Amino acid sequence: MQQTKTSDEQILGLMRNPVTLERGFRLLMDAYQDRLYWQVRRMVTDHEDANDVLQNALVKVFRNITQFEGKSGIYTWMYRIVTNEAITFLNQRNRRSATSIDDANINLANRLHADSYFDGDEVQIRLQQALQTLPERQKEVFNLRYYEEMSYEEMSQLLNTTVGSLKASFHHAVKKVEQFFAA
Amino acid sequence: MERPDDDLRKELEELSPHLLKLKEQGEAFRLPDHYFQTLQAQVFEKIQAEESAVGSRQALPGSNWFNQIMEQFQWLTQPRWALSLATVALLITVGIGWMYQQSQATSQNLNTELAKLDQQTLDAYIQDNLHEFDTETLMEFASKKDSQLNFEEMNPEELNQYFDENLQELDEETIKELL
Repeated sequence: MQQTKTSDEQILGLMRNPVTLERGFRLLMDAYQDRLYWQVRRMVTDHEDANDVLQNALVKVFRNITQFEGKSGIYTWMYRIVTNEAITFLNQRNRRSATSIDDANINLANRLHADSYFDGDEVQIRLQQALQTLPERQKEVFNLRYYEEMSYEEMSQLLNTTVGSLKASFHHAVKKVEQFFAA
Repeated sequence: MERPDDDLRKELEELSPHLLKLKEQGEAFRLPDHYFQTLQAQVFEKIQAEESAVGSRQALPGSNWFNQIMEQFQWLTQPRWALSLATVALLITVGIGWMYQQSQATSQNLNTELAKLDQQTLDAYIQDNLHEFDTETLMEFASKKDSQLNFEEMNPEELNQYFDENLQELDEETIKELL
């Protein structure tokens, strides 16, 4: 995280000047769009929804960049905006469709089968269904550790939580996924 | 075949070999080709679209509140609503016109019929239905009745009675005319 600190400051410097604002924002996207996209994609699962959520979140980042005070890293700030946008989207989608866990699992399987950017087999679909049953925080920690392979120390800075609590969350999440497969 | 970093591998070996095996199978999610290049273009399009929408709203200073109200009633301009409202308005106009004509005809008929009645019948009717008339109508009726008085048609007894009853209210000219 320290390595990108200087770079982040340069980007922010560009974005504070209206003439270089667009260039700064392009550099910011270059630096973090990949990680942010996968964060959203793991949460909402299909590509089209992830694309919509990420675009809306990035527009909000652009609009509110002047409010960024630098108390946290720029990636942490963007990560929160993107995660909030994804949670809002998921809440809306859940209100519209599923009424039970079974319905939610069927809907998820249908979405993944229909998503042309998902190559997983039935076991991978079962894994996504298992993740859907996890509490939001456990799912977030699982995604960051299992898919992004983020260290607990980095995750601790990002989520402002202790390493011990993150390890416990990941272990609980893994056990619940195992139980889902065993059921 | 994907190989996770050593820390994660060790952790998953202890916790869940099954999940480690799944991890090694590789990523199930894919991305469209050149997605991130198009993403930037799409984000800037969105930003510019929002800016031009804000700009066009601000181009009419002082009329924002009016535009907002008009936006609320935008649905009225849709053909089916506009047609329905026009039909209702037409029916109301025709209805009011018909009712006005009916009331005019009734009023004319009533006046014609009343003209045929003699004074005694009218007096009797008013006396019987006194509670139906307001004070102003009665006063008006009385003044018309007075103005229509024709002293030449009165016999001497009627004149004397009228004179006695209204002496204090008669003016000098009327008294001279009676005498």
